[in-house]
Amino acid sequence: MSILDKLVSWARSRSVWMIHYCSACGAVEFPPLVMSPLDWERYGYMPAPTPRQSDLYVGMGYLTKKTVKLFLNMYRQVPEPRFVAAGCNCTATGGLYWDSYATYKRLDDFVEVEGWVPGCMPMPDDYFSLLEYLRKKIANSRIETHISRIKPDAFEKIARYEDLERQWLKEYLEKVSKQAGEPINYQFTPSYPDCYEVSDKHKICKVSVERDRLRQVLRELKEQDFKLFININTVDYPDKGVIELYYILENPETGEQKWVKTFVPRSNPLVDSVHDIFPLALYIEREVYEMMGVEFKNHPSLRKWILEGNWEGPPPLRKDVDTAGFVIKTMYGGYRYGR
Amino acid sequence: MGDREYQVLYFGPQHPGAPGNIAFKLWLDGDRVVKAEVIPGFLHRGFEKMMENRTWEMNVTMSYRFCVEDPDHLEIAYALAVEDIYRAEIPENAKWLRMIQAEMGRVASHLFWSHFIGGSVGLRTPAYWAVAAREEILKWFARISGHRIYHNLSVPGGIRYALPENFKEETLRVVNFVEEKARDVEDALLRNSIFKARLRGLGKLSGEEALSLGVTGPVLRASGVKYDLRVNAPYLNYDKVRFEVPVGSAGDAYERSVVRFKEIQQSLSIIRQSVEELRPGEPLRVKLGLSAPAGEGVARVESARGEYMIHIISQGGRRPYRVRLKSMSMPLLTTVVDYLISKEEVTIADFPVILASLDPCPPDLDR
Ligand code: SF4
Repeated sequence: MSILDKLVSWARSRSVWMIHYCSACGAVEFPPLVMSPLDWERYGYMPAPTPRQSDLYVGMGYLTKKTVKLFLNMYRQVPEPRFVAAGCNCTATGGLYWDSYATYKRLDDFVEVEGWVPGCMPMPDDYFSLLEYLRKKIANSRIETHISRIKPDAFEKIARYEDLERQWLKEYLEKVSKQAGEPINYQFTPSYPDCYEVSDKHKICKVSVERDRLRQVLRELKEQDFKLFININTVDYPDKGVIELYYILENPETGEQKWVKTFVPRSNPLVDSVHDIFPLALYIEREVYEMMGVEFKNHPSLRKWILEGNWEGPPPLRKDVDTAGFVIKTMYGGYRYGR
Repeated sequence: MGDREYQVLYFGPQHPGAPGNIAFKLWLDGDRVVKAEVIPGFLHRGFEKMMENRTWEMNVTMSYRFCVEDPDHLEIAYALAVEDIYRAEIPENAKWLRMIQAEMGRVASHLFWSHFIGGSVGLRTPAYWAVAAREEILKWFARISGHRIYHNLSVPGGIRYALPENFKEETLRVVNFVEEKARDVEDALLRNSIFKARLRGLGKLSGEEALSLGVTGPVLRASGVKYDLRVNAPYLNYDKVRFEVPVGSAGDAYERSVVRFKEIQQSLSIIRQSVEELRPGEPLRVKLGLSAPAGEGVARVESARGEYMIHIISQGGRRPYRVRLKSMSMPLLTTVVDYLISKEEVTIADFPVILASLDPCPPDLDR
C-alpha cells in the first residue's frame, strides 16, 4: 500500500458509521453504548439515518423472516466498502428461538459476516471489541476486501423455505377437509348470566354462551360497565374437535373481569366479529384468525397481519401443527436436536 | 380512499423516528397524515407456540423476551401464573423483592421512554441524563441477578438468587441517585418551551375514548381515568404499601409525560418502603415439583405500558398446554393511532412525537 492508501485507510477506520436500524433485542444496549456512559462517538462512530451513508450493519438479534427480506433489500443500497457484523447468539445459531417457525437461524446463510459478538444479550463492552477489530482490519488491509457480499443463493433460499411452508399448508388443509365430518365430543352448557367459575383472587368471573348469542351478550356486558376490551384467548382441543374462545372484558372502575367463553367446531370455525362493539377487536380478531385459523363473519379485513411475510404454512397455534418438527426437518436436516 | 389522490409513504422500520422495528404505511395530503396503517411482524417469533414446547422452568427465559424495555413485569407475571397453577404460596420476602424488581423495571422503562420523547423533539441532552440514570439501575440488576437487561430473577416459587451483601444500602443509593437524575430530566423536559409547544394539545384522548379504544396504563391515566391494577386488583404486596396513582386531565402528549414522571417518583417511594420490609436471611424460594397439576393459571399485572395478562392452561405434566399473552401495546399502535389521525390534524413531523408519547413496545405487539 502506498502512503496515501494507508492514510486513507486510517482515516476511514476512524469513522465507521452504522445503519440506525434497531432490528431486535440487542438494540436496547445501544443507547448506553452510543450515548452516556460509554460514548462511542469518540471513536468516530455514528448511527447513520440512511443506508446510503453507512458502512456497517449490525444484526442486533433474532432474524425474523420478514426482517431478513427487508435487510437484504436495504443492504443492497449500502455503498461499498461495507461490512456486516452479527450481534447476539440468535443471529449466529438461532439461539433461544432455535425452534421458532418465524426466524432464520444464521445470518451468514444470507450474507458474509465480518465480526461476531456473542452473548444473550452481549454487554456493551463486547461491542467495543467488535469496533476495535473493525478499526484494525480497515486500517491494515486493502479496500477490495472490505465488502461483505450477499450470498448468491440468498433469495433462492428464502423462496425455497416459503415453498416448503406453502406445501405444508396444502397438506394440512387436505387433512383438515378429510376430518370435517367427524363428530365432536364436547360438553357445553351455557351459563350466562351466571358465572360457572369465579376466582376472587384475580377478580375474574367466567360465563359461557353459545356462539350465536355472543354479540348480544358482549353488548349487554358493555352496558353493565365492562367497557374495556382486553383480549381474546383461544384454546385448541383437537381430540374434542373444538376451539374454545374466551372474550375478556374488564370493568375499569372495580378491576373485575368477565370472561365470556364460547366455542367453535374445528371443522367450521366461524364466529361473528365484534369489532363494531369494541374497536380493538378488529385487530385481535385478525391475530386470532392467522394464528388459530378461526374466521370472523363481517370482519372487513380478515387477512394475514403479523404472519404476513413470516409464515406461509398452516395456522401455527393449532395443536396438530408441529412447527418445531417442521423447523427441525427443514432447517436442521431432520436431526432430532434433543427432542 | 383512492391511493391516487394521496401520497403513500412508508414510515419505518428503518427510520430514526419509528418506535422500534415496526412500520407504518402513511397516506399523506401535503404534510398531513390522513390515514395510517401499522405493518407489524418484523419481530414475530411465535412465543405462544414456543412456550408449549418447553418445560415450566425453561419457559422462564422465554416469558419476558417480547418487551425488552420492561421485561420484569412479564417475568413476574409468568411466575405468578405458574404459582397459581401449583397453588403455591411464596415467602413474604420474595414478594417484597419482586415488588422492588417490578418498580425498578418500571423506572428504567420510563427513563428509557424519556430518551425517546426527548429525541423525537430534538432535545437530546436530557436524553443523555436519562440513559445514564437508567444505567445505574441496569448495574444494580447486574449485581443482584448477573444480567443487565433480562434478569431471570423471579422464577416460579420465588426468587432465584440469594441477596448480595449490602443489598439495602446499594438499593437506597441507586434510588437516591435515580431520583435526583429523574428530577433533572423532568425539569429539563417539562419546563422547556419547545417541549411544551410541541406536545401540548397533541394526540388528545378523553377518558371515555381511551377506554373504548382498549387503552390501559399511563396513557389512560393521563386522560383522567384513575385505573391501576396495583390498586384495583392488587397482586404481590401492593395493598400493603402507600402510594398515589398519578392521573392527568388533558389527555394529551404533554400530560402523558407529566404522568410518567410522577410515576417514577411513586415507584421509587414504593421501593423505599419495600426495602424496609425485607428480612435478610429468611428464605426467598419454595421448591415446586417438576410436573405441574392440571389447571389454569392467570396473572394480571400493571406493567409500564398498561395491563399485562398471562393465561396458562396446564393438563398436567412438564409443559404447558396453552399459553396466551396479552399485548400491552396493541391498542396504542392500532386503535389509538387510527383514532387520533381520524380526529385531529396530524402532520408528518408530529407523527413520531405522538408515537413516542404513547410509548409502545413493538415486539410485544408481534410476540
Ligand atoms: S441472543 Fe438473546 S438478547 Fe440477543 S436477540 Fe437472541 S434472545 Fe435477544
